[in-house]
Amino acid sequence: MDVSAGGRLRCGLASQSQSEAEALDNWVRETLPRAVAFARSILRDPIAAEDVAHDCYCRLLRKADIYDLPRDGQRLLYRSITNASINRFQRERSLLSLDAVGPDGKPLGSALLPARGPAPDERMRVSELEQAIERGMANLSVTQRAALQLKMLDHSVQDIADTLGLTTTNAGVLIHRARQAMAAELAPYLEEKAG
Amino acid sequence: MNDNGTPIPDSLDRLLNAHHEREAERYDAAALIERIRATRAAETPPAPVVPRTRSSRWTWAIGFTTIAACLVVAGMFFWKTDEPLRASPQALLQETQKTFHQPVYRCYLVEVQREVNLTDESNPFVSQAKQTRLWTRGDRFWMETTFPAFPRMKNYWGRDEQGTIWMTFGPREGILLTQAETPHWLSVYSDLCSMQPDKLLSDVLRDFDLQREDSPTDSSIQIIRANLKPGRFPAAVRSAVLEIDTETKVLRRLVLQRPAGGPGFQAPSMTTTYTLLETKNQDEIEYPLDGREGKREFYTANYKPELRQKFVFPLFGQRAVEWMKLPMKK
Repeated sequence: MDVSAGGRLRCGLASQSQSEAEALDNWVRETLPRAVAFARSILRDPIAAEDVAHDCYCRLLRKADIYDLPRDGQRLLYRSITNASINRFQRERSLLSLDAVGPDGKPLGSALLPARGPAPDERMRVSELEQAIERGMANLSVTQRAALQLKMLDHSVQDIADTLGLTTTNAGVLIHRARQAMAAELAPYLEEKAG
Repeated sequence: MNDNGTPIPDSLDRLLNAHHEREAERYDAAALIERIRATRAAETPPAPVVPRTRSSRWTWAIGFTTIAACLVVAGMFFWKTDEPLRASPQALLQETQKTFHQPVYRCYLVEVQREVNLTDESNPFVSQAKQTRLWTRGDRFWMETTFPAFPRMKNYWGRDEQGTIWMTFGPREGILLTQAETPHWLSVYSDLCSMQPDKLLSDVLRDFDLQREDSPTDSSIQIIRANLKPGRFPAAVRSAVLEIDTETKVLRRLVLQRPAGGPGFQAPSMTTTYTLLETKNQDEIEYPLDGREGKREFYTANYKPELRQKFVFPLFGQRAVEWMKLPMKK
């Protein structure tokens, strides 16, 4: 009797931990592409963005028993990625990464590609608008990029201020200036209706 | 409303959001998900802590002392004094790092290898340079390159603190390219060739797993393979092989592997090999720009630009035409 009860309990715990693991796995799968795109927009280096996302996910998953990640994880994740990206960006880089984005918005390694230029599908992909967005983002400071991206993801100004270690007023100014700069860069593509 | 009184349109947020969504959709997350799973799997849970009783503490202490005593006695019997004591890879690299502060110039042969062939015109330096040698002392460095177009001339080139590329042609002439004028491929190539050994070794010691590899017998060379620790920076270099002379602690050869090709971008991976060719004291060699004031003319975009083109065109071909145009005559 006791044995079967213990067995049922073990089975119950096992299935519970399995379903938790599946839930965490789904959470990673669902949030990862946007999280990497977010890190990439701040860092402008796809490999560095993957490294940052990897570290932040692993750090949060280690604490999965403390946090309810599927429910509250997104906010923690973006806060973690923002700080790690800014740290990474500001850290001295003594080695050249071929994937880092150059001032022209293209990866540095593309300078080593044959002189024929990008492949036709790549040319199609990088439209004029996207190039303008990349150019505009490149001209922002790393904290402006982070603030703008967080605002786009519906984080409150208070939350952005907390994440970046700023006052609410300063965070508001940072976001406003970033939006101004992007509006100037993207002027030909914007509808006139003002907000 | 912006500072000029012009309102910021609502459509800005829509454009940026749509761009973000497109970036996320394009990203293939499978590889990174696997990487996260692998890291998680490697992180084994810590062993449960068992509270130690007073008696087990004594047992542990006695056991440890006995084992230590046995090891000392065994070491005295079996240690062969004719065999050199091998330092750990970390200790050896730290010693090597100190040699870069010595007041000597070291010359390394630089070879850049790509996965694709080198005959295309993507980078004239890669395809046309016959040989590139890097001279380094501390943070100061310059290149010595031989080109088929100027077989009898040693061309020196380097980059100063402002990012200006300088090149010398013979004893009296040279050219300058400001950072704004420098083509992208030339910046990338000078980054590839230059090596700041002190910084490099600091990165390797901090972020890489070090492993000693088999060295040739009867050789004073130690080979250390450095692999990037999972999830560590810098991802710019994934692995390095360092050959160090254990007697002089000098770095004899270094192979750096740089991966390339992130999401949506394909580029050839690069392997850069630096091989020590010679070492010279400070009084035996001079920095190519030292002691040349008034003796060498440097042509720029504003000073005899046509002579600058005369040197640049044979070296870099059509690309130079695209990137350097003579100012329009008024």
